[in-house]
Amino acid sequence: MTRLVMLLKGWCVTGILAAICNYIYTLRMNNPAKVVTPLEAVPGLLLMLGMIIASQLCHKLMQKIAPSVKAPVVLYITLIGILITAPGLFPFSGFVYKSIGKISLLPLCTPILAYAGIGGGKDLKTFKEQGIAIVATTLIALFGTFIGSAIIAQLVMKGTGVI
Amino acid sequence: MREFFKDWKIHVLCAVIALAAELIGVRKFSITASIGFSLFPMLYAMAIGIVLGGCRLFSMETMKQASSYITISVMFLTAKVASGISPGIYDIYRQGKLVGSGLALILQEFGNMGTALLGLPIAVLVFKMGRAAVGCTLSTSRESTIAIIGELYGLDSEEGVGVMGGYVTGTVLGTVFFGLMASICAHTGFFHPYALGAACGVGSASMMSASLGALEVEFPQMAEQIQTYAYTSQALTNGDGMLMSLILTLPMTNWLYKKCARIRGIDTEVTPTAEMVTDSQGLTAAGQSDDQEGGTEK
Repeated sequence: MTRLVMLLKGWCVTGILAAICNYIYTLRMNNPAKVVTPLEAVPGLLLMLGMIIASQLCHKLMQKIAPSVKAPVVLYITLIGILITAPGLFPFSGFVYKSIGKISLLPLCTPILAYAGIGGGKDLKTFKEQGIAIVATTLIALFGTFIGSAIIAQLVMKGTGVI
Repeated sequence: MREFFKDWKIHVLCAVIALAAELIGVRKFSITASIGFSLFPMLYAMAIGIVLGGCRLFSMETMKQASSYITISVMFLTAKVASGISPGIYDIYRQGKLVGSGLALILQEFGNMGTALLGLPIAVLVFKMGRAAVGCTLSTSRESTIAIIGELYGLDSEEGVGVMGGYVTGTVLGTVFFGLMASICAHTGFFHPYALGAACGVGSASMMSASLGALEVEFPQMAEQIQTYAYTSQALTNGDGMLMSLILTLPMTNWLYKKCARIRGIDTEVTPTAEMVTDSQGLTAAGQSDDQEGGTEK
């Protein structure tokens, strides 16, 4: 199976599931004004897909013309996203932001983590072989990056009057 | 056409798990006013998948195929995150808080060194770990960290074992751990939600969204601003993470390891390349010369 077929399937399934999950999620907010039907989520999802395809093309193009630049696809998506939603830069930036804003973060992550959960089972055997020391150390390290950033942000924001 | 539908099972499984998780919905638990946590759909989706896999309900091949779809589906999340940065920053600018917020966002990146600062002393002094601690606490043990450790020490080295252990632990437990941790931190009230938002950007998309999701559940009225901080911090970490690990965190981690190992009274073995490990004479010589260097520096 070619990579292209996989990409198309992955995008379709994720997009459709995200639209349905988003609908269920917004239904539960008990606020009729905030409900986003799957159909209303379509423009946002298509715009995201457009950004993704553009970034894939950028990535392929850069591999051809400047193979020494080893930038990951994530970087291109981020740059494209920052540019096309920059207020006032393009006439359509407000529309892009509003359309994508209809899809909430939480329900968008549900199908992604469903794939991750199914795939995670593959590492379960290796995980069980880990000593408790490695598992505990990893979790402490993960806590360290979070709390380290939180402390610095808290102090700087307090100091500069943001909060 | 048959070829196209060959892996239908994974997608059906994904759909069933995702919808089941979404239908359970957000659940809040509070033990006391300041101690509590929330659970939300993406955490159930992750947990259900892993538990079903652990019960051997699907084949190894299914799990492997599903793994290759993670990177594809996560692109939507990256696009969503990227599209929230500009408008959010513009909003902060209009409130006249750009300088303070910008400074906080840039400086909090150094908080990512907290992995080693907190993790390494505990690993070496409490768990009596060797050089594996360096690999395990260098960063969040995601793909980019594996690349660094693999290049510098080789993945067969002790450091390599550490980072690979960290990788599987993060894969299996990371999302749920981040969701719970952010939720508990939000409950304590020590931190402002914006500061916690800025802390969410740890480089891994699933860990970021789990911690950000927890904050959104706790502070729905501030969701948009918290998102801006998390998204920007995530984009910054994606950009600077590898460089920072290489030029700042790695030297610091090695220095910390030497200090902690000395407290424990073990020889500080420095293994810059995989070849040196096999050469025991070279190893002791390098250890000695490195000790001397450290002595003159300080």
